[in-house]
Amino acid sequence: MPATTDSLAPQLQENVAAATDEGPPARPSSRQWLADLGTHARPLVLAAIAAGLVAAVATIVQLGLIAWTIDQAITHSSALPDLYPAIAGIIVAIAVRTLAQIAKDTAAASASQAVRQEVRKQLAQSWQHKGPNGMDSDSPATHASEWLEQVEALDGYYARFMPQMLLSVLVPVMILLVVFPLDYIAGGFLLLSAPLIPLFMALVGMGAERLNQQHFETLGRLSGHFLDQLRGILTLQLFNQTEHATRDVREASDAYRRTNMKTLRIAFLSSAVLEFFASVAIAVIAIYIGFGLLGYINFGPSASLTLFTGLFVLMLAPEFFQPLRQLSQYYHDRAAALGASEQLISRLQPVTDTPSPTAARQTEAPEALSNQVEIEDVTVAFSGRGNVLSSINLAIPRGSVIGLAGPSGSGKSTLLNLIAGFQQPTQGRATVFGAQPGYNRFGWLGQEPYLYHGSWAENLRLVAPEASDASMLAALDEVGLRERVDAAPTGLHAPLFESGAALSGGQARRLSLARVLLSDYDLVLLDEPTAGLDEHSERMIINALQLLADGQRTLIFSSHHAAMLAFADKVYQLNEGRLDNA
Amino acid sequence: MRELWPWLQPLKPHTGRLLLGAVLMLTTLLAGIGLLGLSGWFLTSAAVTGALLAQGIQATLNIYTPGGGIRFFALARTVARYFERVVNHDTVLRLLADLRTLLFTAITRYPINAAATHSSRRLSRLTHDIDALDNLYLRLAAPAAVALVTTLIAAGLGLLISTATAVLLLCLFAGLLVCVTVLLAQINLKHTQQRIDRIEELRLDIISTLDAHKELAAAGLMTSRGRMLLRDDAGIMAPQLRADRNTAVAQGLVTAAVQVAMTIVLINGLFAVQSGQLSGPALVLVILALLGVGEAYTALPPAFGAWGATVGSARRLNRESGPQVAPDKVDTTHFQAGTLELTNIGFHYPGQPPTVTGLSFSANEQHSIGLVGRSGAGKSTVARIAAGLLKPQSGVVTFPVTPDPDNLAVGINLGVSYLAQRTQLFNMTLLDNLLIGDAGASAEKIWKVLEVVELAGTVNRWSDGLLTWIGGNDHQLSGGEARRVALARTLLADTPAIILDEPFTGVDTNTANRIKQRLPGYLAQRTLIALAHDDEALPRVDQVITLGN
Repeated sequence: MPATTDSLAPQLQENVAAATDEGPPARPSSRQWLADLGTHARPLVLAAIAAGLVAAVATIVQLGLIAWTIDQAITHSSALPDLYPAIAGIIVAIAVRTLAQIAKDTAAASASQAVRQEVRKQLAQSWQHKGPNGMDSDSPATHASEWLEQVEALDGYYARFMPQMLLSVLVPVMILLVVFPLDYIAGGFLLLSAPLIPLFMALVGMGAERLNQQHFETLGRLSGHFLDQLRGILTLQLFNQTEHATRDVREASDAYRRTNMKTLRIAFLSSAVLEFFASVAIAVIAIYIGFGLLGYINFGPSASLTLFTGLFVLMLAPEFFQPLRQLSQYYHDRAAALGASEQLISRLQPVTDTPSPTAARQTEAPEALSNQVEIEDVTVAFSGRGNVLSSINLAIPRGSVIGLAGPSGSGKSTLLNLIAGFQQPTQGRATVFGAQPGYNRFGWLGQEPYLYHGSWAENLRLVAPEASDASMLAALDEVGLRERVDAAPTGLHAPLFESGAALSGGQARRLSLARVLLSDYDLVLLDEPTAGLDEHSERMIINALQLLADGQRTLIFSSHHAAMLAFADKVYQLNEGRLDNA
Repeated sequence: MRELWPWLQPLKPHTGRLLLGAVLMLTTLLAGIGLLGLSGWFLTSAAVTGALLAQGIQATLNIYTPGGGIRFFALARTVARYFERVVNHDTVLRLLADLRTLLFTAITRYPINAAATHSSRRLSRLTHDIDALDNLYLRLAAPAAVALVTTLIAAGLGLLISTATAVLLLCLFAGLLVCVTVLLAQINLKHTQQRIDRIEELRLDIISTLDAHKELAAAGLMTSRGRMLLRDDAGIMAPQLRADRNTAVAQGLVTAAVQVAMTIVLINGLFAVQSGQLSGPALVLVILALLGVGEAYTALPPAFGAWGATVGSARRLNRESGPQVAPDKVDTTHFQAGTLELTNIGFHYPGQPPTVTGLSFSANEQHSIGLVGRSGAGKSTVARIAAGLLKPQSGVVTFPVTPDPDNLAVGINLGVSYLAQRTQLFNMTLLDNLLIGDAGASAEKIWKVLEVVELAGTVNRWSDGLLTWIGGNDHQLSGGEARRVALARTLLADTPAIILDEPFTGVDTNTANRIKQRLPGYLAQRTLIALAHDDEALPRVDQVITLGN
């Protein structure tokens, strides 16, 4: 097994190719997308900003009162009792400031929550829109990490960055309005240094954005890679390849660190720029005011400087930069959100204009009723494999039992996927009883039936949530699994194990068939229902299918097995993607 | 707290970096305090001196030393902050890489049956829980230590005014420190742990939804499934919002405490100034320095608010990498070159009736064995016993090779190459998947095996050939093709013995027959055990044993 980087490279190329090939129309920019999402929580964001402004006003009042009190006491030697009202004012201002700050944080957290829920809603819709074959290229773990971690990465943008963006303009303006009348030269210093900051930050931030996107790609791939290795851990142990895999994990983690550090170094640089300006501005103002108070400066407003104005301005200087400094700390949040949004946007973009038929169920009505599954001149091509199906024509009347035969790789599965609506034809057209494939509910039994790591009941209810205990037991009876469940102490609620470790392959297939039996479908599609099964299991499955084939339901299956094919009304032979004229 | 100790151990090799990070953190803070305090002192001194000069009284003030000091602190703060962040984040990421590797190693050392935990749950542990530990180093330990030092500095500043002020400040900041660390962590513990647990459940649900996507889409259940996921998501948001609210209150507490400290200093300081015990500039120095002190606490609430998440992650990680299952020392295993033999084997899964009783057979280079039986008859259990994955409760298993004690005693380490019933391919190229069987295989050897399993022609037709991407969730291989790739991988391993469990699942009869023809030639001088549901599905063997009944 080669190093991770090697094995990831082709996948990367694939992604790049996919991105350039498709060129999805009218893709919104990340910024626009984030801003649009913000509208879902506008009142909360506005409330947070308002609370932030109240806190800023209270801070200015508090600092003014402190400066005044010190000035009174030191330069005017006022008696302390005369200062008590001012001190009381300071305490009130502190209380207002604290409460406003709490209100701001709370409102912003709620805003972020509303937005994240909206994005997840859209993600869930997109899964449905694309259908199973539309999202195969990424592992379920990558999708899970997208739903959880990437959407979570938007949190900082709405909970911190977005309200702060406006505050970082309003609060400094407010402070300038206070400082200018006190001393316009000091105000000038602040005014001069302020616009430089966003400029520098923007320069630095542009790099950070791109790097952040890379960071999320790495993280997503890292997740997929880990799950793949963990799922295959038995294989790795059997072939004594665990050391190799561990080295892979090590290398992937190191690669993650390196990309991450690139992002962070730049993100930190942007805050260092700010830090620098803030520190220098404080230093310059302190020295300017000091010299002014000493009488060394003989121009401008310096002559009228007092300890009150000087101290007030000095204490306001850090407050002037504070909102911007905070914004720069949150810049990381913004970059993270932009990076995550890049991926989320492309995930939410439709792959093709036509949604997966299973998604269209609620919206589109069938074109015309028909009693046939019709396949008209259908060709399906996969990149790198050429035509998997070539010019297939087929009409299957309702109520019939159809077998698809042919060597492995001849296109049987693809044809079933086409009738299911999971696979779009490259050319031609398929309809099921007059509707698009997948428009109506149907039963599906795949080659590798999915077993949930929960109980028997949970496994059966996966596709038949309403099923009663009695009907589940009846279905298990049909497929010959009733004894196993009866033997378990908790019956239907006894757990199955992951990947069916405690179930044999044949039993797993039969369990999956029991799911299909629980619902009343017009169409049932089965991909090699008896592959790898002993005669007993095969008989069990054919018996159960015979019950299904009541002349009303349509059954279409692929198989190599004589017994299975003998059960069909008609068998179609596939060869290298072509239908042999039988 | 005990949960965190094991995760502090891997710190040792990084002690130097961690110390450097903490020193830089403290330097940043001290420079900030120095900048504000010195500026305040200089400004007030200037005002006092200026007032004296204005009255015509002779007075001097050294303007160069404070001026230089102010510039020095301004620069020092910027530089220290930048390097503090770079150094600390780099250290943490290095640590996390170490931890991830440690954990993965621990998992691979588990015999497979002791490690029945769902693989997606493990994935989440590896990435999410390990990442949650960065909270431990970067946001919890170091900042709390720095805040503790700062509390002492604040008390020291108070001493400039009066002992009473110093005691008051010490109490106030110590109290604040307790509130925003221990207390906040305690209050939020329940919320954050609840959230983390629910996230894991949700992750599992998302993965199973997508694993079962076809079945769910066919049944028209994707909409309701999506709604269910969103409902679960709301269940995660609720505790998070409560925790966020508590953290916001703690943050407010920091602001209030710092400002109250300033007010205390102001009042006490004014008394001291007026009674002549303290100079005006010194008072302003203390007040402004306190503004800088506040910075040490602002980072604490968000970090300690998420304490529960860190502890929860550490706890789950402890469970995962916890005490290893002791290697089985019971003498049920013998070794003899070229032989794979089961003698009088009895096996039952915990709490279930026996799957295998009194089974005996012996296979060697000259004598291959086929086992048939209907589904549930225990074929795969026998295969797992013969591959060293399961230890029988009674009887003796003889393997062809004495295992290297450093590696898990399963599969090729026992001289057995085993094709499991379930096809498991990796999301890699075909070549990489095959190389798992034999990392050093030559191109010649690989093509020879592909010929045996009838894939050479197919692969030749693919535009990327051996470098075609396969595996993963839903590869473009048909079931039969995937099975034959797994078979090829098993055949590639140069072991004395080979076990094939249902080698031809999903492979059409003609292809299977041709593979059966070629197998004996390829397997010359190797011991073969094959298992299948009936004779038809077996390769050619010397003896067939029927299991069950």
